[in-house]
Amino acid sequence: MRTILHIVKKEFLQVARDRAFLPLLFLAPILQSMLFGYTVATDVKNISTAVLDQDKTQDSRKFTESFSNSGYFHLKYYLQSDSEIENLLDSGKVKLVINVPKGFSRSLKRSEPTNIQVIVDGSNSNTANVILGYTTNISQRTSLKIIVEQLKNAKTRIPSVDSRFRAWYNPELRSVNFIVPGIICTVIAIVTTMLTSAAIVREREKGTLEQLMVSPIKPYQLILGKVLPFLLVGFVDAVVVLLVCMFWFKVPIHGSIALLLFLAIIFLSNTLGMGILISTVSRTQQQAMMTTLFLMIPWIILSGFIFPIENMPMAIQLITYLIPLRYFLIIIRDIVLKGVGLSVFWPQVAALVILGTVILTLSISRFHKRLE
Amino acid sequence: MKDETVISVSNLTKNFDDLIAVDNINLQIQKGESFALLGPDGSGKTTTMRLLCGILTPNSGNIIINDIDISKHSEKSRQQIGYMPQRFSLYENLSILQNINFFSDLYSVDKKTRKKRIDEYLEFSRLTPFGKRLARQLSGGMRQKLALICSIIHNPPILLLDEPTTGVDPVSRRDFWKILHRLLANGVTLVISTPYMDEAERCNRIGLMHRGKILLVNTPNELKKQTTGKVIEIKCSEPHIVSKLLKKDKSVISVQTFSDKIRVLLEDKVELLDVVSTIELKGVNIIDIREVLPNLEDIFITKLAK
Repeated sequence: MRTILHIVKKEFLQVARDRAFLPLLFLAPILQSMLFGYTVATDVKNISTAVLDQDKTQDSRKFTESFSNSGYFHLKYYLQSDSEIENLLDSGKVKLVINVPKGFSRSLKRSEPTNIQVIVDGSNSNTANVILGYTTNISQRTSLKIIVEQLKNAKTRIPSVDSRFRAWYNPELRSVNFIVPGIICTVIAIVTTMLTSAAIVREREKGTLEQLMVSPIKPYQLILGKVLPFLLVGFVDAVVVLLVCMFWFKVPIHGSIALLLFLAIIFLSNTLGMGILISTVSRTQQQAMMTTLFLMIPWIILSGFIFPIENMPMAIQLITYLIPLRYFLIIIRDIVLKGVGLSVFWPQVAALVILGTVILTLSISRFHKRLE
Repeated sequence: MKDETVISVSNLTKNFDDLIAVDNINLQIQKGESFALLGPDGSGKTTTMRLLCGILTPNSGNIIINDIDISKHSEKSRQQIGYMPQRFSLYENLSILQNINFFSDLYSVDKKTRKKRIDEYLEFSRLTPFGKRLARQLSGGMRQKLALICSIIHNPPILLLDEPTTGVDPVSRRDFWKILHRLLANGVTLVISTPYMDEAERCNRIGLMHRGKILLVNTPNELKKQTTGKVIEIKCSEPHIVSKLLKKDKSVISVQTFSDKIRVLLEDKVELLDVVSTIELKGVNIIDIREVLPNLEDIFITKLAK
């Protein structure tokens, strides 16, 4: 145990010498939280919209106004002819064009099926889908209102199904609540894997590993000594992101923070293991960094951090089961958003423990082999 | 104390894939002696040193250090051995003192002994004023002295140094040997590998190493006597023409050309007069020609020529 502490102490002395490192330790998680918190927001608001009202009646005006009233659309341009449409969409000045044809009001009054044209910028299919959803919703509500009024005049009673919508766990459907806690995962994964692999490779690169190997230190003491400092770093980063999450983005945390931090340590055993594993296949620090990045990008994309796993092709879904990030993300979101505990996500915890054991065993045995 | 074998190597072989780095070597090293493994680059010195300190495992053969077979119990012998690798391998972003303290920690040197030893070694190697300086800011010679201190801080009875003074300035080299002589006086057994003849000559015994084999082992003086060739030095007006001429001669083993003279290693049977007539036939004027005592380099060349 004493020997392990000697290594840990040396590791900290080396880290303290590196002036750029300490700020990085805190800045990296804060920066990532900010970046993701503000940019990955999938909420679509203030869609810049152009209106071409060829009907110019009270009905057509009322209809277009219902768009701006919804709060999702910003009616920026009122067009005179359809020749202007292309330019606006091409230049990206608007995402949506509502074209109300001549005869809109007359057709409505005659109770004929009435068409309007909606043109959406489909280059970002995600946003386009959301916009189309809102648009459909607004048109349907308009037609529903008309139907109800006509039926009222006819003095008939109308049966209706009215779905009252309530979002549990995240009532305002803020995407920040969903994304930012997940950053705990990605920050920990990137920072600890990279630092661990680089720190071990550095010993080999500089030849100091050879000096350690002739000393009475045992391989397990060496590994623990090298890895413990980064366990602490990962833990501190998790706390930093959690604080940003709570106090900057005001994400309410419904579950146990203590449990979250404890499970973070189990997750760390996975990422530190990956770090050791990468160090056994890399000869230089640069190689270790590149390998880490090469691995982390698919990890993050396939983890469900941004893109839902359910939407992925079956074969890829199977791969995601091998990614520890996937499980810890579920755990974090369960704790932060739902406030549930081990009774719900024990399968994910079990998966992390199993994966962690496999990765650590594999990496340590490879590390031993490389020593010889 | 005399003739007590501390390192015993028998039939040691190590190959890396197709390359045989160490080829069936046998070696006995006595307590308190200084032993030099002398050989050119790539002769297997470093591999032998790494095998001796247990970093590498041999393909066959064994190494017994103080009655412990290190291929079976390498960790038991670690407190007994101090090893200094060829490449500087300390922490460059730690200071001299932090490096020494770290290795003292690893070898569990207790605080009191440690302080005494650190003070003493730093003083002796003239590093005391630089205790807080980072290892990366040290000169080559200072680095080597620091590396030496780190590898002897646990007072090992056996010290293995792999090319310790390669790339070190002459003053630091002298400091370095001062420390080594002091250790030898205290009964430490020293094994160094070196490509330099003058360094090898400082040791009690030399093992000539070439292509993974130890060609012969003897004291520096015996080695010199053992030489089979004859060495002559020639001063003449056209050294380059003469050296070209002699290199063609079959009875000449080697020719070294210096600015003012030529050193020629000849087979024993060749007479001095034969050489004189060969040169004068070419019309070159000989200023001086004489037979001289062979040095280690000549011996090495004769052994390799066989």
